[in-house]
Amino acid sequence: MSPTRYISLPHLRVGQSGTVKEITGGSGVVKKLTALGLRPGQIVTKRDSVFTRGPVVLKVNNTQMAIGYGMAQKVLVEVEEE
Amino acid sequence: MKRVLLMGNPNVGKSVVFSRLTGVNVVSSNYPGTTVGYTRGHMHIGSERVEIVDVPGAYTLDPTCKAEEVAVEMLLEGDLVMNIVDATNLERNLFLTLQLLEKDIPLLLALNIWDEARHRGIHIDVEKLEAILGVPIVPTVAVSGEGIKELVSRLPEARVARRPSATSDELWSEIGRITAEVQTITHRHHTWRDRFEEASIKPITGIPIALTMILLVFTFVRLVGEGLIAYLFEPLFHDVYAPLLMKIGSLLGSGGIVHDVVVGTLIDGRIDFELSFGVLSTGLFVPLGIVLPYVFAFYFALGFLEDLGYLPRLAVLTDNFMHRLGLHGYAIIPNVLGLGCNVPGILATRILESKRERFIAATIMAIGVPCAALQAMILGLVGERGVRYVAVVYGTLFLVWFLLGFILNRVLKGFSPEILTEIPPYRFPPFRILLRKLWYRLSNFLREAIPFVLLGVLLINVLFVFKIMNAIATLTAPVIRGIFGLPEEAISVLVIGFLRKDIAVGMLGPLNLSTKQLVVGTTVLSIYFPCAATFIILLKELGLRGMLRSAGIMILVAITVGGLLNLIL
Repeated sequence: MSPTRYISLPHLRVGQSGTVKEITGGSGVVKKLTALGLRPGQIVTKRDSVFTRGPVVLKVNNTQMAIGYGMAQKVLVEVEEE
Repeated sequence: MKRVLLMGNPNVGKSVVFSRLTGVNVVSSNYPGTTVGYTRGHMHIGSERVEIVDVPGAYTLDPTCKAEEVAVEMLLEGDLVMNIVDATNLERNLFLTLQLLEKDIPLLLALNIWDEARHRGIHIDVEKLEAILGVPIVPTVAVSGEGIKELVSRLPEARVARRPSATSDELWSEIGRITAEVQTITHRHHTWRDRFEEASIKPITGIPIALTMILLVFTFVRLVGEGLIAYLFEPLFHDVYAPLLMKIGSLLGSGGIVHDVVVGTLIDGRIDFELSFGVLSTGLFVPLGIVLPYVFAFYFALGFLEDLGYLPRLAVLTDNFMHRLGLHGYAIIPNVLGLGCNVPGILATRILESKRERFIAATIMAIGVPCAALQAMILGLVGERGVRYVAVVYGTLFLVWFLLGFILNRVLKGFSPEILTEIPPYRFPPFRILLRKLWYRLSNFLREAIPFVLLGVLLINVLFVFKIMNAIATLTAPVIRGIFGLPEEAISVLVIGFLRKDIAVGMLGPLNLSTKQLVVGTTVLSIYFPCAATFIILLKELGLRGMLRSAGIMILVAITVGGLLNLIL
């Protein structure tokens, strides 16, 4: 198995994918993200981000969504090293 | 009577299904959160009359915003749930479905947006899914009507599944098992649509696209509005309606109080639709001859952008900016709707999470976002004096909108939550659906505007005949003349502005104002207080205390801004 590391969503490069490992926010944040389909085990792909701590745009399954920067920091994903 | 609830995730087409079933028009768009209240309609199934309720979209029965609270409350009052599911997003949609299946209410499922799922290479085994969930399932394409007949015919088969209640983790793993079994996805190539979708979010291309869109919409509204007025409405009023009205006038004796109230004061022996101020002359000309053409053009453009799915992208782009106002990007959508009419704009603030956000959004909208009717009058009246003066009015309103949000964000306790929204794919709206929405909004506008404008004109006449206006004018002269630099008679304009802004701006015309006075007058009129309809909605959405606070801010801002403009210009 290749070595892995956990990073938060804003640190994902545009176009890069990762598996959601942990959402560190409170239950409110978890509830909202989960309702949209973003939850541990899911594969997310970063589509884009707006500069200066703007929202992060992601694709999870077939849903494209925008997440505020602060919330995105609370989502940790595992990326396989190239 | 049976009550059927249309429930499902946001932006899956519930409102389109609702219109299909009931023939009742409701606004549907391509972004989550179009429906924030509920609409009822009826349909006949055999001999039975059934009530259909269009419920706001919800991702979960564990509410995270006001629209979802409404949905959960409605669930208690229904006899049957028609669960609308987005077939292109089965996994996420099934969460709500499974929660609904735990309830003691019969359910029937529509797999909507079936055509797009097929197009994207998503195959769902409907029979297998039926067997797993234990409820009838019908694939549908609500915008074209495909599958709706079958959906209705299978309504009696709706069943209570009585699933044991499960935690959300258990539900998700169950959903994983279900989708793995019924859904297969084949690969698909990138299309022009994907590229445009990416381009409109990426700031480097997105901001120019947004600015171009705004410019295009503004140009479109002006060209279409002015064109309709010049080639359709003015000829109609001047060549067809005026002679008819003159005949009515001569029956009323061509003069006197009754004549002047009904037909208006004759100017050089003729009816002047802008200056006569009779109920049947100016009272009809303002809503139909001046405002309607612009409202038509604006709603056509807005409807197109809404159905295309552009607004959520605008929300992502403006998110940073909106945070300075204590809001997040999604709040741009109610504000854009407010450019049509503040009433639906303020209602749409229900998609925002906190009371604080809703207060800020509603207050800055009521103050700084001029509705289409008001804009039509500003363009018409101020536009005559030169485009740069229109720019001064718009620029001032925008600045006030921004600064007020900025200050409220600093002053009010609490924080602004972050944006979290689904971004739907671009969908090219069928022309028929666009026209239906346009017709719905225009008929709403006419129903609301015409009675108020007629009443306004009548009231102006009464106030003048009984010299009440003179008394108010003397009383308020210090503010009107001293601070705003306007003639005393302008108070009548502000009084009528409580009722409706468009007719009030129209009253500025006959006052022979200087350009500076006109700019001050229209700006103050836009800011100082909402029209009657907006006032009622503010009261409903913010409560009495919130509304009073909001109204106090408006009057304060109007006096400050009006006074400053008077000093600077």
